[in-house]
Amino acid sequence: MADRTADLVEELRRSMLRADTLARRLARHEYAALRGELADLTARWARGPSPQRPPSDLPVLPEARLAAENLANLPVLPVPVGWIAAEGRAERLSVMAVAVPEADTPGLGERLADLFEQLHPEPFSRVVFLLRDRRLGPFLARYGLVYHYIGEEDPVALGPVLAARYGLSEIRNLMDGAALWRSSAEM
Amino acid sequence: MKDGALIGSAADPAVQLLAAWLDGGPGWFAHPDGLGQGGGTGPIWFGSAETFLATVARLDIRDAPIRVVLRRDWSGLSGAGQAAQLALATARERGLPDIQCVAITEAAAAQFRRAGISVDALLKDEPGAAEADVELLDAPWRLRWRDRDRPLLLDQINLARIARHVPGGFVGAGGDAADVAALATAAGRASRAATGGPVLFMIPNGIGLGHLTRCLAMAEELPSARSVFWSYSHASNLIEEAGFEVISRPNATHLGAPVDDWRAWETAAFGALVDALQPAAIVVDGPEIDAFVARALAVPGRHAPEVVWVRRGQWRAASDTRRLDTQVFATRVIVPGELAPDQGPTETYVPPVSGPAPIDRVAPIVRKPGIGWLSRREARRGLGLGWGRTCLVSLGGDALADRPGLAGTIDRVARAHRVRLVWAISPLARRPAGLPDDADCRVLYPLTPFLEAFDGVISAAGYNSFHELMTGYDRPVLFAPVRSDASDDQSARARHAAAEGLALSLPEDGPITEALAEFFASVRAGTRIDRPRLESGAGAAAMLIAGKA
Repeated sequence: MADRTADLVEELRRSMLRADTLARRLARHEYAALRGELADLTARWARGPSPQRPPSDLPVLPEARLAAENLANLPVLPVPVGWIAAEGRAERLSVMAVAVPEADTPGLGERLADLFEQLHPEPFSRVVFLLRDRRLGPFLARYGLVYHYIGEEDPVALGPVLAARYGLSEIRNLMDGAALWRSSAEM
Repeated sequence: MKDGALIGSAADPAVQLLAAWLDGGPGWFAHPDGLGQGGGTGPIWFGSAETFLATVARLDIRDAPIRVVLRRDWSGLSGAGQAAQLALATARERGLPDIQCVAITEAAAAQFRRAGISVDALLKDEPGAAEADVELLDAPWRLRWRDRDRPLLLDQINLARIARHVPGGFVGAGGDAADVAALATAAGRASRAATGGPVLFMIPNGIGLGHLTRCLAMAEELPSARSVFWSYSHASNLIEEAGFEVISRPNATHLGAPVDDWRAWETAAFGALVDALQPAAIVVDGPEIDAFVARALAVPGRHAPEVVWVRRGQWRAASDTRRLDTQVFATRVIVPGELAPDQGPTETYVPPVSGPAPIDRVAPIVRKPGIGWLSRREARRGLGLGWGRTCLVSLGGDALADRPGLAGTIDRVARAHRVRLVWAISPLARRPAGLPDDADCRVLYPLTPFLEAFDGVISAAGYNSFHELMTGYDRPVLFAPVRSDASDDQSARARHAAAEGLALSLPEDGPITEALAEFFASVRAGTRIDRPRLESGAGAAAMLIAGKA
């Protein structure tokens, strides 16, 4: 019986290693696709023209209008690490938001590439992208990444509601890495 | 928002009706578990004496006028009278002089007065309900139409919204049910749907562009109304580029979230938007009305918007029919027309319980291209196409994955017939696997303005592609229906078009080369096909949404 148990444990260990290897291989494939697409898209966005946007006074996150005690009663939602990562226990990673400027901002492609390089294959954090430009949304979604469109809204003003929603610890600016907002738990 | 507040249980139909009758506006209602202080100097209304007793200790309402709605028991006053007496005694103990008890009907008021309680009646002239076609039942609260067997459970349904759609009024069995029925009749006759507010379109998912395109088609036919989109589609940039405001939301799948957790946020966020926007209508284009929409709109004070369900047909036989049961949350159902007969559940399934919504059918809804149909010369120049026969291939990753080797076979047969191919890539998708290395791929949205550039089209048979091609294009079409699609019976559409001689269809099984050769031969020959030219149903749907039909 003991031999049989040891065999099963060994087989299980081998299966887990195989799954881990496959996950890493898949993440590498996704990362390569993302980098190639990012280069094409940022070149296209830089050529413009930027799309026209209708004027709008809609709240970008309507739940930001709720009272703090009502927000506190809502469950924290998960943030996926995206398909370029092979992290099996993503839930233990902290969550941060990254404010991304307009799609035709000079240097945007390089800064995004730098960030994705750090998120692949072993991410340091789970990231919510805060977008000023909707054109980035379909691209991020294709790689299992989460975003919110914030338009002209100051990301700092959204810190508390994003913290309640995702357990967010901080918001950083993509272009210079500066911290724009930190949760009170982080300070 | 009106001064004061209405405090009660959100699930109490009487409280839903009071919010409409007293017209406090969105946000005026406060749930007893999460209330603060009533705003301003207006009266604080309590939906029952029990609610007053349960919450008065937590409120600082010393200077506010208090109105307590007294509710009868089913058979009389026994418990209700005691609760009312206790409420008045409590008010005296807490030094609240401006308290007034209000019964819903004169009949109820008379009964309370006989028990020694000073009380006014909310409805001075009780509405007649001789023609009433709906009976209101309590414990639990239900509605029973006279011509239907099963009653509708008023769970997550705002009775004040339904009341507008019951012109004959309500009757109740007695006691509180009779009072609430009278209030429903009065509120329904007095209230109108919100007018002048925006139309809020809801797009359910992040894959495909069908729901998004159909909603744009309807919104573009509503020029006098502000149209706003609540979208789970990742292509919200296309909505904005079409000139509409949009709120983008991730769905539970995007986040990998438990559906109930995600729904809790959507209920709260959607409710907050409805309060801020006060839409005249909420248009849900999708396979169901999600529970979060129903929950958010069941909250007292959110009765005004009509709920329009745009429900595309042609579901597969094995589709989950429980989704059709969500019709009870709608006040109108619009069925976009299908050229192919629909023999699936959307035509054959009868929900066990139906609500107030009439079902309206319109012609197939397709989007008119905003820049107009380009001439062949303009379209070819716009796409940089030279001379020679050119065919558009509009097959998503699903269609190509459904038939391994399809892309290569199409490419080979097209070359043999000297037909150039342009592969349309969805704005949402990556370049599908399996395309030839030298494939000419274009991201085109919307496609329709450019159709004249092409001598033929190979397409999947989703609702929009199918009807755009079958009602607005006169060159050869070959359908490659996605057989694995979860709910949409694309094969039924393709078979119908083939049977009517409107298009060719790839065989469901077996070799496909022969069908491709026949198609490319007709492309090569410059064949024209006489198809029906139908007016899009988008205009008729927009009229229904605007309440003008």
